[in-house]
Amino acid sequence: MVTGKKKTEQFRRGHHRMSMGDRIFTTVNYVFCFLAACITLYPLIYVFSMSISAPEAVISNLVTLLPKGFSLKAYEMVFRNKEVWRSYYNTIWYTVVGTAISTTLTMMAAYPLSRRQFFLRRQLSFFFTLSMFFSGTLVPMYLLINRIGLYNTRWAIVLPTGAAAYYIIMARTFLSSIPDSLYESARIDGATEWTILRKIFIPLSMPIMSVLIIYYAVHQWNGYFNAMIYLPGRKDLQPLQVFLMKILINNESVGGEVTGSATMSMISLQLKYVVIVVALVPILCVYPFLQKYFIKGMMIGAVKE
Amino acid sequence: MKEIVRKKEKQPFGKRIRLWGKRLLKNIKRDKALLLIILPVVLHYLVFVYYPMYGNIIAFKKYSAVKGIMGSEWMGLRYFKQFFNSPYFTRVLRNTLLISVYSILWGFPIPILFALMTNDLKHGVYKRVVQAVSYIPYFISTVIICGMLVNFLSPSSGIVNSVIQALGGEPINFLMEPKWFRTVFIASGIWQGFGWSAIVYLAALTGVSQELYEAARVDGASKLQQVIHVSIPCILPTVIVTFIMQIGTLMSVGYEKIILLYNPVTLDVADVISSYTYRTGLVEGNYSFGSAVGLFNSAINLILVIFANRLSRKISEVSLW
Repeated sequence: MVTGKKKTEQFRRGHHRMSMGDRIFTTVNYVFCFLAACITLYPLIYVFSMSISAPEAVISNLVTLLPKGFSLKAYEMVFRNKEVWRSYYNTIWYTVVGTAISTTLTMMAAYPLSRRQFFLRRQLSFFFTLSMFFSGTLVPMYLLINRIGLYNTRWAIVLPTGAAAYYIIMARTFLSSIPDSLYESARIDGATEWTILRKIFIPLSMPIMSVLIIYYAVHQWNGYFNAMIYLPGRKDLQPLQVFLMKILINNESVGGEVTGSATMSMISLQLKYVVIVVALVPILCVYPFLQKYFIKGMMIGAVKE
Repeated sequence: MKEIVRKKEKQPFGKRIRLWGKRLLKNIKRDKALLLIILPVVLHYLVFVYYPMYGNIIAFKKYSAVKGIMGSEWMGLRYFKQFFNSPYFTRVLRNTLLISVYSILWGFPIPILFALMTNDLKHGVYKRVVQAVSYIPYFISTVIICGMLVNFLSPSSGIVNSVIQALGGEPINFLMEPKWFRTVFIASGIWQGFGWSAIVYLAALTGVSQELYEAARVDGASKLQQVIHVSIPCILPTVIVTFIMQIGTLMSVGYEKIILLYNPVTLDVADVISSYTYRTGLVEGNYSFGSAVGLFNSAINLILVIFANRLSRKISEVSLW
């Protein structure tokens, strides 16, 4: 028995002698995975290298992987631009407020739906999930935002997102898994639903809440379309992604003051790479958390009730 | 006897209503707190989901801002007919289908291969690093992805064309040539999504019992044979379900990335149903026509999702609902 176990353990760790074919297989695997990682990382490293290289090297296409020369002039110009800061601030505002609204609404829908005795449980579940299959299309949504006076206001970005049905179901599934005994003993002690939700369920739902927060926050941080169609007249309210779109896709200039000068035309290409880096850094900084909670969310979402 | 039966049949209506009302009142009273908690979300859904759903009817009306949705004149199927008869109909339909089909053709097997390969890596750290790196692009915004594409593919300053020229080729203006659009769109999509899509398969692979591999090893199976005879059959259900669910999204190529990458020159191959909805409805301001196109698209999507779900339930007993 013991020897058998030892043998399996050896098998698992790969201490047994590999045949030629297996060795080729493993090598090919390692090489391909390395290539996949390189293909994924290369564009990001390249963008970063372009952003800190000397402008001369950038303009004459000398950068291939690592930075050539060193200059932070482009960064200086980007950070001197007020629009960058303003759109950064706006994005943070939308992310914080939007995520708070969406997460709160999601939990407020999920909790009653997770209570077995709730008499509208089935009807309301249907009411929410229907939106996953059929909803207002682009134009009616746009007309609604106009109609209720949200057009060209901050609320047009944070309110329509609301609580996505998929996440409501996900949170409901999670809340249903919290033992009923907790709920019942609290009820017997005379706690109201509101207290139970706040004092018992919210603290216990931190795993699902963090998943929701991360999902909604990434959605708000990365979104550009709503801001583009709902805030066309308010440059001062536009988020970072719309600013990026203007610079990267519509080819508008970053500097403003020095447009047309020799330095400007020299540096304008580099500015684009700097802008990409500036927008990417926050996402990459929180990336370890993002990755962890997104995968967690996928696993919770995959569990069917 | 007969009398009583008849009475029982006649009476119920009023009584049933009253009983029902009583029970409802009792329920409401009992679940008052829960109702109050869920009420704001219900209101939010009524305004931001159900009202626009109702707003879809402007596809059948001649929308006028003054008269509103209610007061606008009925047009029947006029805008739908206009759409079906326009040359754009076949164009956007063809482009949507081609982009979807090619995306699945190229994009579907890669995450499976990637999952099978990373699953075999033995060094814990190396494996984790490769996986963590592969998810990064998934979190990068559409605007940045498209911005990088525009810069990398630029014929004058892009790295891709520098390489082509260094190898002795002629620079290609990728984003200005219709024949390159789909390749650029789909390849960048795969770059962004392959690591992320592999998670489902990796999760399925970790669920495979080690005993199966051991048994295969005892039988003298090589690693490649283990992959073919153990790993692949074990994740096959996941593969099938994922594939079927992709059929459900066959007609829903989103506009976000398309409208950032297309231009008048590539419109002929790049315009999909959703981007056409955006352009006619919002850019050109033909609200009713745009709604009709959008409604057509969501109707097709709904049918496809239902079909995919049915198929999935039949084949693998896994379904969305």
